[in-house]
Amino acid sequence: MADLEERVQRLEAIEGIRRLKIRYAQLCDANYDPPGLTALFTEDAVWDGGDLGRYEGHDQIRGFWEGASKAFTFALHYMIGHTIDVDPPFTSGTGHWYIWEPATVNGRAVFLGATYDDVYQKVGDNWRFKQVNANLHFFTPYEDGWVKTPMMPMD
Amino acid sequence: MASLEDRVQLLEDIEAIRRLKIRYARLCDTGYDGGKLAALFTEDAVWDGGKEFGVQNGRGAIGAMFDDMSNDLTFALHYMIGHTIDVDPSGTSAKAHWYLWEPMTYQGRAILNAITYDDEHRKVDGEWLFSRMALTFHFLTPYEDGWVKTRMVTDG
Amino acid sequence: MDLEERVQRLEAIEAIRRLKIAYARVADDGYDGDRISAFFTEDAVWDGGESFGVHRGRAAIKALFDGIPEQISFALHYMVGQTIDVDLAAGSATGHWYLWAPMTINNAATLGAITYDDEYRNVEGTWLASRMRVNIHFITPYEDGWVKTPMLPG
Repeated sequence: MADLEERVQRLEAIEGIRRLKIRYAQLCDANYDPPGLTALFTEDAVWDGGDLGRYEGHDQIRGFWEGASKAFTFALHYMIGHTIDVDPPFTSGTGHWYIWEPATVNGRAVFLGATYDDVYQKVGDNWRFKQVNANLHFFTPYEDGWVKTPMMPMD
Repeated sequence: MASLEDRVQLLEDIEAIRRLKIRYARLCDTGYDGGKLAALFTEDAVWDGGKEFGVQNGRGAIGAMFDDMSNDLTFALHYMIGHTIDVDPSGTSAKAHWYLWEPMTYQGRAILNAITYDDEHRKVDGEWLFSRMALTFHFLTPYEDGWVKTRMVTDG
Repeated sequence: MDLEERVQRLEAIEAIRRLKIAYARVADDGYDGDRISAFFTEDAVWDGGESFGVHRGRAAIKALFDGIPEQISFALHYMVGQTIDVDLAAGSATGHWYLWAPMTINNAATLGAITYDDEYRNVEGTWLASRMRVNIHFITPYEDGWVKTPMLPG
């Protein structure tokens, strides 16, 4: 069995990564603070949302958050159910998350249900996103629900 | 770097504070027992529900508020989510931020409630308690309306 | 408690938390009976109360989950707010969870609100569920809400 130091390091890494994701949620919910969110990504990071687009590097990622802040005038990112995998020397990791998100998009109330597959990297003392894959399960007008309208057009 | 013992203590404190919030949720969801809920707060704690729900000062006032709550709030589930917990280096105080998703039945109506919390904690005789709980209401909407149509049912 | 035991307790809480999330993810990936029953001890009980019945043993639990996709074609199990109590000496634990579940049941959008009372056992170093008690608070058609229709008929 790993020594005590290494076992504590693992628990700390899981908590550090969990916190990074919640910080991401908090900044999304503070009108998508584009500089604040971008700073949570490595320089060469990729944010890939499938139909929501793929953004690579700080400039593109910042541009994406700027667009989001205009379309999403309100959102709450309930980040739930993480599975985080880390191995010695605990400088990188992967994670899976669920998100439940009530939001107001272009003036309409919507529910968004998605999962994330993430890759994390430690930069100095801080955990950063190297890759975020968002898998949208539904994005539905409040009055419809996910059977009637599973995917509402974004614009 | 902190000693291994200190690092384990920090992880334990985060877990204990997380658990305190879940205990609060479960007491809310099983009838809002004022005495049991008040025991989670320090004697001088403040529960700050903002302009919608007012400010309660002290354990006695907080307990009384919860005892009254179950009259109209006949059903609730407090989904406590997405915590960030910062423990002060002294190890005796902490701050926390939480998201709440809460389907509830109030005066016979289905209501969806979305709140975030800014909490403060103190460790008293080895036990983490709430010294302050401040609520920010994002919406409190009748289920048939949604938050664009009716953001706060209390405005009506 | 010495430092070793304190770390063991934190690790057990994390392992059990992870077990429940793994259960959620397999459920959301089509309720594969083999994969989901592997999270349970051989003698485990999945207790769904009056609505979903009591299923004893890994084989019965597998059969239960294999049958679910006939009705539930889509679900997201948002597992939230765990309280996990570990008895390291006994190799056992209890857990309480909240579940929020948007689902598609018989082609209708449905919202589920559930809590769990779980029991776990450490079997040769792996935490497994030995009992899962499902408490249903509502399973309501999306267009109705829990006051109008707290529980789907059937």
